[in-house]
Amino acid sequence: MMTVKLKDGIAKYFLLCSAAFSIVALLAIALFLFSRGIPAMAEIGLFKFLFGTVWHNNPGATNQSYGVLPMILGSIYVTALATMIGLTIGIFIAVFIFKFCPKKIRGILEQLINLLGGIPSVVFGLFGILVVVPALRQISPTFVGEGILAASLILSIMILPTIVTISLNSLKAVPRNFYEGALALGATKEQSVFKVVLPAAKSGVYTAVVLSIGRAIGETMAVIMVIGGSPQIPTSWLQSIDTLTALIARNSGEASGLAFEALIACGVVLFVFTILLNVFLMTVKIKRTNQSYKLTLKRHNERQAQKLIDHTSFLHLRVALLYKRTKFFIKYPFVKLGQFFVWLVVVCKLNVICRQLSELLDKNWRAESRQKAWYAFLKVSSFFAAFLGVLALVGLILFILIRGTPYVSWHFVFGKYTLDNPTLTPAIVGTLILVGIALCISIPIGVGSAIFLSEYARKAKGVKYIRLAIDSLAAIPSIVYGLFGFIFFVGLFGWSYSLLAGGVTLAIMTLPTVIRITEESLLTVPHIYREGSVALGASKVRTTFKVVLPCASVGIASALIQTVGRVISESAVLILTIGLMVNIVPDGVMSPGTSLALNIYYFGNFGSSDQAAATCVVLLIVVLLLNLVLSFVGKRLGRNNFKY
Amino acid sequence: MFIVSKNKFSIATKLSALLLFIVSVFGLTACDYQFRVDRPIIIISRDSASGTREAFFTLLFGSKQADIRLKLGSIELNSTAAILARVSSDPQSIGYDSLGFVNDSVKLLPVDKYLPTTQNILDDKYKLWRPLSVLYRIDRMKQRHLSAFNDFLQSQQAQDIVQSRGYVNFPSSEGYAEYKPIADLVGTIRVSGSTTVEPMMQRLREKFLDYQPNCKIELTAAGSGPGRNDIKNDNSDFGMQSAVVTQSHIDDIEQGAGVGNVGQTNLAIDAIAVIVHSSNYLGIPKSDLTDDIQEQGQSVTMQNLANLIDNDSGVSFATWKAMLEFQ
Repeated sequence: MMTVKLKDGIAKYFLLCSAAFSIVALLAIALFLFSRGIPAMAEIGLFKFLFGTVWHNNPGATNQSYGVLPMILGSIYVTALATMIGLTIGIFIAVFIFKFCPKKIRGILEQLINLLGGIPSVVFGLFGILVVVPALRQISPTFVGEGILAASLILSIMILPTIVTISLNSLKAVPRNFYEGALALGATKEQSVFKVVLPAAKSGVYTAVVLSIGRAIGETMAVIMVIGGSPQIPTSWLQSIDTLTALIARNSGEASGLAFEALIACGVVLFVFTILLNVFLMTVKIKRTNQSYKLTLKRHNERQAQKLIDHTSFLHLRVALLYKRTKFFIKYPFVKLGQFFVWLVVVCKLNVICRQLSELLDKNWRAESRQKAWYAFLKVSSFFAAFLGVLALVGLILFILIRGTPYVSWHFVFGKYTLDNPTLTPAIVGTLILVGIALCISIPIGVGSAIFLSEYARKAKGVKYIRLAIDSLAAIPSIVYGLFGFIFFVGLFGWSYSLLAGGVTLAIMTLPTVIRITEESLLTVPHIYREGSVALGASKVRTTFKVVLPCASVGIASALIQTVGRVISESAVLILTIGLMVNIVPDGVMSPGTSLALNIYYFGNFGSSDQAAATCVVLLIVVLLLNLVLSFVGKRLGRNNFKY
Repeated sequence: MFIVSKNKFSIATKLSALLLFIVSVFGLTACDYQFRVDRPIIIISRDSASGTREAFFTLLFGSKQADIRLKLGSIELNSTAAILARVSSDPQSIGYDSLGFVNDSVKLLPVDKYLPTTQNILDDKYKLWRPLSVLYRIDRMKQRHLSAFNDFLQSQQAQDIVQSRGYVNFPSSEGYAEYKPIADLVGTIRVSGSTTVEPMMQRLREKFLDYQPNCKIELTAAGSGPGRNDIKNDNSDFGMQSAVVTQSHIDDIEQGAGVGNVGQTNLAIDAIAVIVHSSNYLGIPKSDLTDDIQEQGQSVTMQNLANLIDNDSGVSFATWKAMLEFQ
């Protein structure tokens, strides 16, 4: 008995340590940011810094001025709009894949969405500059296509996979009897999905909001190419403006002295902004998950079912909707913004469409048919959203394939690098090393933290701080990680530009993703498994590792996909930490190097856009293969689950 | 109360939504427009880390270039290729780029009546040009492999490569010597800095390694400014520069490297081309650029370019017409 207890204790403390790692990482980043950013703010003057409208930091200028208000506003506008568009389309796509999609194309669609997650932001930037911006220019009164709208559109495509994957996972996690119960009560398929299953999956949607806001506000490389870059206060959707991340990325390489410290101060602003957002979201979430997970869901389900039965008359429905909407506004104005947008679109368009269609098709205009029309509209919206998402994706992939495929050859991928015949060998070796380092660090620590959070400390008091740290790490923009890695690992640790510095920075950056996904999948493991295992006399640690963890292996596999995808597609961090040595195969972790995504940036920069597109094709193939392998593994593991 | 799950509207709504989408997409792509003089000028510029931008501003504004604020509302992009792509797709735009990178997707604009031909650049008729160079720490040149590489950069072989890349050789009064390989030379040479010089440096690196196969050259590029910082902080042996190296640059580097310890080797001369969309009626494509091209009738002046770019100049050209008429 002693040994079992000892084992349990050791395991618990090991898991606690890995969970605490997030806090340590967050504190390190905060310490470095504040210790350099706060003095800079003091020197500039806090008010002048935050509310100044003139930014001018040319090296050597005598009239330097550091006012970041235009960039703060730019970041907020772009992020808000991108999240609204992405969330609206993303949730509908998730619902579409979940229920309305024909079984044959469901797998393909999920693969496509995963693939979208693996496309590096540089490619989105290139797509934006070649397709989106020229298209917007046609309708722009100022003849400028860059700006808030272009950046938001690109970003909303980028955050789609995050939203769809997480929403879909949590939709799948809702017990099937919710849906069946609603059907049994007489609701239609659409009503059951939108009124019962979707609200029950709310926690996943909140997670998606947190992660996608983090991604949107932190995105650098795609934004920098379509935002314009003029430091002025935004007055129009189609106008060259700037965001905080783009500003940091554009200037951090060469700025020195106060100009560089001012950029770190910008990093502080981003950091504080994301932390505040997370604290806010956490308070909202805590209110919601006060009772245990399932009880909440059950009650919610009962309430929704009751409402469904009650609201057979249209008037009731409208009143309920109105009440709900006002409640949104009073209670959580910001969180509900995305949801409100959905409602707004639905409700505003609804009257017109319903009336016309119904009058056309149904002379009697009964409440029943109005309600039906509404759900029909929701269903059509989800079809339409899936169509839009697939269109954007297919357009992007076709664009890359048509540009790049003719240049892909055996020699291009594996040959020796010369200036006339640049090859990808150094980049492939570099990418493999980076992925290796990142996975070696982030998977054990991430899975450990997830186990601790979901199995050991579901109701413990201090856990909310760990959760806050994880959420904050997830929301910290990658460019801030880049700055951190540049000063901490490259400078302070003396690793200089090396794959190790880049890999470790990436590991910290991908940690929250691993924790999130693993935890979500641990939550889906039925509680009865744990009870059964404990009842049979297994210890806690044995239950966790032998029963619960194998059941969640699909989630861990999906965490792996996302981590690898993130590492492969990241460029903002790497450009500051691993140097950009495209021509030599790195001979170890301490050597500077390059990755596939950085090569796209490099080729794109030097006018070899054919090679850039070809690199994209190679990268897509890698991501596709990875997805196929992992989905195969996932299926096998999933099949094994049934045997338990 | 049972609700029938079959609904009649979905197909009608679906079709109308699809139709609306298709119409809007086609509507957007159908109206392509061409260059018109009565439409606004859109300025495309590099970011402030760029040596090309610094060189361009120095040529236009002289020593007060750092104080100049780029016109608000102009587009700032962080790479050469992005500038080319942007200008080649926007009829109203004007941008600038290293002549070595410009291709035929855009047109070159004559400045003060002259186009950037080799002869015009050497005669200083086309005034927008800058030297490409590398900076280094002089005390480092005691190491044999570093001094050998420095000698190689000033050799005839290196200048042949410069010419083959489409740059103008840096004029030298005593001519260039032949590089003689040194037996058993080993060592790692770190080169960083300007992204403009980097492709040429890659070619030079390959040639040098042909002579000295036991050496290793680590070549990275993040911009001229980072190149100077790397020399200052000793992260690199050679810092590539695409702008004129001024005394204030040298002073800044000497804070880290020690006074009088900064040396410079000139590699080539590169013109900065002012580029416009191919539907613009001014200018010619690069492939039509030959040495016998004479003065151009219609061109922009340096003064106009300066007024166009400077946010505080007080002159605002709302349209192309306004700029071309303002002489």
